[in-house]
Amino acid sequence: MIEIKHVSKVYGGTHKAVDDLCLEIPSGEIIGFIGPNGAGKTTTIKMMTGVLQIDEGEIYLNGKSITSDTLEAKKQFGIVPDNADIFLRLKGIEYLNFIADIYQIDSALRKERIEHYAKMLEMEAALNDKILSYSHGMRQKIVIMGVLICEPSIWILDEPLTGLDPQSAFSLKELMREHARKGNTVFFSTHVLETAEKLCDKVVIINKGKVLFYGTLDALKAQYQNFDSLESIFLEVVSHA
Amino acid sequence: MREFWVLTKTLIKTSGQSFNDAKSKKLSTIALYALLAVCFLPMLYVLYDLFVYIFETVTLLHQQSAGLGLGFYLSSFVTFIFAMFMVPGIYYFSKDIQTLLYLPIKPHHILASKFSVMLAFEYLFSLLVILPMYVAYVQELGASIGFVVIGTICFLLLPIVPLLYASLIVILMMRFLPFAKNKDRFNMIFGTLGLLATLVVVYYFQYSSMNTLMSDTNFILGLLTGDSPLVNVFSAIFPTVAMMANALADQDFVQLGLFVVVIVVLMALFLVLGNRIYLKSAVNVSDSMSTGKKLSRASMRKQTVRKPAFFSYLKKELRLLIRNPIYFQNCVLISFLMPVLFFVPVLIGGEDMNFMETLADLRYFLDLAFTRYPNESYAFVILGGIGLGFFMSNTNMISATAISREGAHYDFMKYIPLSYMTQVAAKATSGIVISLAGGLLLVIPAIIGLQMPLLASALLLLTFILGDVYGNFLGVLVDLLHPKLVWEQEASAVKQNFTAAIMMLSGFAFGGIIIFLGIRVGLEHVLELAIALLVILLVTSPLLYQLVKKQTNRLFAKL
Repeated sequence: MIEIKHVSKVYGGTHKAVDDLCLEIPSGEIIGFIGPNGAGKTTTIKMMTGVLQIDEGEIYLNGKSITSDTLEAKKQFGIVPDNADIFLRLKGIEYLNFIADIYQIDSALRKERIEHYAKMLEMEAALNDKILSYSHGMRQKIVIMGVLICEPSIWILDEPLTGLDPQSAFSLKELMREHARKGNTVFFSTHVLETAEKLCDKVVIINKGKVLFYGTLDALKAQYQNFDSLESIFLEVVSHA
Repeated sequence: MREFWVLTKTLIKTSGQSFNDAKSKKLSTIALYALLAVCFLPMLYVLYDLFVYIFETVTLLHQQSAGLGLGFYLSSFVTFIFAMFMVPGIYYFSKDIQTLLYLPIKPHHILASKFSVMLAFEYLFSLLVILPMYVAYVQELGASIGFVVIGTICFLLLPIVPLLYASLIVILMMRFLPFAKNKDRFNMIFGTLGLLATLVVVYYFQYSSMNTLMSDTNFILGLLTGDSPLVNVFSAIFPTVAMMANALADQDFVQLGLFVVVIVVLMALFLVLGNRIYLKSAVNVSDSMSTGKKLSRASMRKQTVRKPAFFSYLKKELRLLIRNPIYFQNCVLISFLMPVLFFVPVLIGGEDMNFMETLADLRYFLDLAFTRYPNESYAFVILGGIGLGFFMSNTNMISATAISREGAHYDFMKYIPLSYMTQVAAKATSGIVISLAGGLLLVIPAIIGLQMPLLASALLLLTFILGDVYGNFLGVLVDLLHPKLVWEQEASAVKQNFTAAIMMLSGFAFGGIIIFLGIRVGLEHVLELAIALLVILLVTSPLLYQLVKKQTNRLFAKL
């Protein structure tokens, strides 16, 4: 469960990137975080994960405050950041082990998970190579695998499907559904409305740092019956920010 | 032609930006360049002095062109060496190359533009030799308008031939050597060879004592009259230099014209050849090669054993330091070369000393000292250990760039469930491990070679470790206070990091001051000094640790 309570973030003393954001994301759901460029999505994700300091308000991850109980809160989530170009000179297997050590995953369990996800995402032949030699999609996959093998209850994914081949994108979506079915939380940002439509239980539409809509897609469509596509609804919603 | 000009202009602009990070502060950049310029002044003066001597000699022999030729050979050699290190980066490994290959630009236009960018840089290196030579020439022989015109043309054309050589060698290597296309491996091999070559040159100067060589009239006469194997080799490699030197000495525009024609022909040939092979070699360059091999079951089992987070983080740091060519050369390799560079020549003591004799003398001296003045000798051991520890701790700049090397990826440090202090301590430990390993290369042979008493050996080891650990934590603290996180190339995090450079110099200075003070206070007070220093370090160590912890939390809260 993620609780975002009256959170604000100001850059340079004037630009309010996130403005009094309030969200309660229950466990067992997949939530799509949608908004145009510069809407405040990445800033929100960075505050949720402790990368950025919160100017006002509080964020709780499974009841642990990211500000006051930081380490415990960080143990609750795994993140796939928007830029997967990290530790390029480590081999895939070394990266996964490093992450597993940080999260203190047992040897047998991590081995089993690495083998399982490597097969699923077609990364078996790449694990012994340096990440530097990977394509963009493969780099994305190894970072995703880093989250999967640790199995934190909250997944925070910033544009996770970008660069993935259709088979891997399908597998990841299935994994997200499976994770939510087990009573966990999946929170991911996307620009692709079709993905949100097919995958999410609920969506959060954000622009200029404010939540414009939070609810199911059916509720959204019901609210904007005069519009014939999700795209036009989205454009209508963000135009009122 | 328009494409060539537009491309060259753009490449020069972008090279300038990468050379000087866009967001780096103007004042510190100016200060850095001013410092660099000041550093070159002694070298310029030595060269000027040498050329004054050469032109005094050639005037007597009526061999002015030979004097100029020497300068041109030296400049061509310097240009060639620098070009060999710059050409791979600019022709093949720069980020722009993949974009340029998509554009509808002919390969020879790309090649010519990149050649021009290199040439612009090479003028700076060439100037380091040509400027003192021209000043000395004008002072000794005067200057006419003809000299100024031809001298300027010569200066502008001089770096072209060595640059052509370097370009051709690298293009052929990239086309036909399989390992060369792997950027990391190429940089690792080439950079290491470069550092080792530097070491060889330093030793050569140490042994042959270049000053004696240069003041040897026969040696200089041999160079000037062409009766020298060195000049014969150079004239065979750079045949155009003699034409240029004659044109300038005799102010002969016909010879100059001939020289220009030769250059134009060579350039044309290079572009024709480059048109055929440059593109083919540039398209296949990659950062790292994939093997495509699956991990064996045994290997998978072995590699997936759980380890403590701190140990895993330390291992990650060490792997990144060793595998990144920039970090390997500037941080790792330097730790092992520095002790050799600084101390071994001192121990060997020049051409007229014998290593075994020096060692025997030192053993005798130590034995005498420990027998007659045991307390004072132990005090010197303590000071030496701490001094060496400080010296080694920041030589490699690992701790002083611990946070800076993260660059834009510092986010990772913030979102993983591992305390900041554990991460920073692991980073400092990577610096400690490598600097200790480098220092031990010196300490252990010293203990064995000098047959030091057991207690003194133990004391030396412990105080060396104390100084090294203390120095590394100081380095981390300085980086925490002023990390350089905005950079485009990894090299900027290490090579253009002002605070890290300051820490490196401070390490030298601290080490030097401690040993100097020991000698300065003499036998009477050296024991008090050693005990005082030891107490200060031991008492302030927990304080330093707390300070690092406090600053770590402060920095990460601010980022």
